[in-house]
Amino acid sequence: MEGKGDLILVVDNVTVFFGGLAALSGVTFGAVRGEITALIGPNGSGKTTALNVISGLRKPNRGEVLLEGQRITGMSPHEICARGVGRTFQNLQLFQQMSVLENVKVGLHSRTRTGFLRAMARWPDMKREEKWVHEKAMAALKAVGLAEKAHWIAGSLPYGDRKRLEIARAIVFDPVILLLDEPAAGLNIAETQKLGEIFLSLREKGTSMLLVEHDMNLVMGISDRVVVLHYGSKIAEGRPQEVRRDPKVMEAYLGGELPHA
Amino acid sequence: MADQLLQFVLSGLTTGSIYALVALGFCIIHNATGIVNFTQVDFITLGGMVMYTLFRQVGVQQWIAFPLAVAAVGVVGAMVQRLAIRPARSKEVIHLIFITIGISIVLRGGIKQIWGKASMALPPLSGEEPLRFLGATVLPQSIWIFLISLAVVVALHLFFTRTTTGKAMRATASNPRAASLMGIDSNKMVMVSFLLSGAIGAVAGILIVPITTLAYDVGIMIGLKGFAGAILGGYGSFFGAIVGGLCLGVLESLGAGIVSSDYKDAIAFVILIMVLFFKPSGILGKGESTRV
Amino acid sequence: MARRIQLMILGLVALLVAAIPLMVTNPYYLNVLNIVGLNSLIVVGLNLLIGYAGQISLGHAAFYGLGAYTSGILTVTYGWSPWLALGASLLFSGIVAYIVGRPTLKLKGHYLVMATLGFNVVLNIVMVRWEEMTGGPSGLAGIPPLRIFSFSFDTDLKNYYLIWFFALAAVGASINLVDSRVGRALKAIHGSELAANTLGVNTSLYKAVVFVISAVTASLAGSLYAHYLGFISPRTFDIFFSIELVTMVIVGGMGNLWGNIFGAAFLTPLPQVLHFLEEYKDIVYGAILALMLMFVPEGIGGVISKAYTRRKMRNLLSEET
Repeated sequence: MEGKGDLILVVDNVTVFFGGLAALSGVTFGAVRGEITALIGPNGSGKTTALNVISGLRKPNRGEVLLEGQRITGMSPHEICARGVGRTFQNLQLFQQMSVLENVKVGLHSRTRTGFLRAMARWPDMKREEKWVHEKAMAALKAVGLAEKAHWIAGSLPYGDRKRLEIARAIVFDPVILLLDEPAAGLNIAETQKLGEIFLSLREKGTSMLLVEHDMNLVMGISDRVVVLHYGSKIAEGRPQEVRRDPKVMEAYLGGELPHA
Repeated sequence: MADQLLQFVLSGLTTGSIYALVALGFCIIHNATGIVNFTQVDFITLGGMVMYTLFRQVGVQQWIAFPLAVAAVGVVGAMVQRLAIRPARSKEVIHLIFITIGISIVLRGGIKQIWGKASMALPPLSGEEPLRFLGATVLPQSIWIFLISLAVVVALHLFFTRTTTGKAMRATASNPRAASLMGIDSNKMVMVSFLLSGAIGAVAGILIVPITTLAYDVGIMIGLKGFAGAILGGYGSFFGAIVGGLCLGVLESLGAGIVSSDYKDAIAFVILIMVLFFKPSGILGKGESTRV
Repeated sequence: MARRIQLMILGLVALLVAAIPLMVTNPYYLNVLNIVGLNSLIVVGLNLLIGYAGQISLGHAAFYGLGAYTSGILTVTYGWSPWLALGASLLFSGIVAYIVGRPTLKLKGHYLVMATLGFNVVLNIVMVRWEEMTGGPSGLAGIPPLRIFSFSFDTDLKNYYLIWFFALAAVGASINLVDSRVGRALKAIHGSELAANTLGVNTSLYKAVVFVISAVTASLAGSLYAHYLGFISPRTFDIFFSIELVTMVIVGGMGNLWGNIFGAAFLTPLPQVLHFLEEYKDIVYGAILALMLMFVPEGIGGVISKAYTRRKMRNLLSEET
């Protein structure tokens, strides 16, 4: 597997079976630190399954996942998060009844310590921690442009804002790698553009990203590398321009060319 | 020793058949609505009570009173759905479950009002003389229980596989949205499921009460154990309800006979807890895969 | 509602609670208020479990009973001092709750309900059948009252202050807990367990801890009950009481702490109030429950809090324009 720079994430020969069907078959790819790696493929190619395996929501039948060289296969999702993996969901898993700000604060759970007893007794350390949590959360909201709606109830937000909230929640703890599951789904061109800008500024700060997307404009516009899955296998990997011209990829997308970036 | 064992197994199969029927009642409503219907326990009691009134007080012949009582309780079941479930503002499972709990309290209160708190006796369907069978004694009532339960199961099977309503119910259970898009009235399906579980509960009650005596709360233990049987067999599965109910009955009987009869009632629930801890999907259920 | 405001309300309620016995001296009413206090204590814990962690338990009467019987048996049969017995029963209940809770909480929805129900039934049967230990169906008598040096909590009035002290302390702890990192994590689990996990919340541990906390508060209430009345019997700790407890939570509004206290205050004396209806009281009680859930499923507390949130949102939105 080629690639310069060190690999922050390695998916090594991962196979996942659903009943008799292989959602992923011996898939191997890597994400380079500081880059935006896109994971694309037609529906059903296993992209979300791959994200689920990486974030610990599903154990692979075979294969390993390495984060910064350490094996994270089979670890529970919260442990994997604590190691710096952030994730958004395709079908949005917001905490509907909580406020926007509270949603983001939950994202800092792995970086804070106040437990049951300390909370009940209102331990002095807690005040300091809460202040820090508040500031970081507001900063994350500002980064995605939701700061004014901090006290809105998450369930009352319009769709575009919800997607951004989910991102704010996933980045607030400064993850080393951010897994994005179709963040642009349902957004219009202007909103997608803004999303791209957010991702690029995250990359500036050194956050690596693994982006699962269908919106080819976004993918071609911001990715450093692209990995293509089809029916659970990897069929191509490389720079966006190379992958665009790959005949296997064009065939996978039903004989059409990928749209121009 | 072998005689004793056979005795336990036979008596276990008797109560097991009752548990199986009750389990089916829970199963049908669960598949149609996703809820646990607590009024099921009162359908059991009501079956016995209405039968008692028809047979003992009005003087209707036993074999006519039986289906009448079953039909009457079926109607009660349908009314529970129509009057309490359908108008409910929230369709959330937890709310509906507690509505059934409230209605169950109402029904029990009503039963206490109409029939009083004292225990009553309902005679068995045929004689009282126990029969001998391979060294064990069997009550004739037990034979009726086996036969009628089997008939009910077969009838239900035919209903769900051969009749339009039955198939419509299965469709609604498996995909409510698609079913309603095809013109199936989900409210009606739910009402039918309540009607059926009322009828089945009544059958169970009428069959078992001659053995256990009749009182306003007789359905509670039977109902809960029937539910435990449903979970043991694999919740939501028709076949599982039957297998689970029978197994539970036998295990309970063996446990009471061999280990201790003092704690007989606890056995069913200990089994329930064990199943939930180690294999919640039950005997027939496929293991739950971690889904996202 | 902001924590500050809630704590102020707590302060006012505490004053009110402290003042009530000055006006109400009839021991019968004090007894009812004491039971309300005990139920409130249980309900505070249950509210965390149901309203925040989103797990329904229909077996909390079992922990109430476990606390009562452990305290009762240790003091009556083994002569332990009441406070020591209370501490031991809290520890015991906590351990039992952890052992039962860890596997049970992995279960979804009604599996969890049935497991807790089953647990309650089994424990209740043991209370009835294990006569040598528990005194069987006729119960356990002669439980000594709690004492601080020579001051004995042996009247309705003295127990009133003791019980409500614990109840209000529990409310305070709960208010603090909910407005904290832990409270957020619990609400997150309720909102989307999946997301909570991927955001770093150890959901299985948290659910188990909340279960243990709710069990321990119920157990505390049980011990207080035992030392207050001096006599306990299995009938108090059956599944119907578990159902009543959850009803208090639902009628009050799930997740709504003050609503639940109101639920306890409203539903505890209700059977007594309905007593004049005699045979009809079950029917009326059940009807109230069913009707409330049919037409006001969010509970009284839910209605109030929805109105509050709507006003708040309206204010926020009008600030925008």
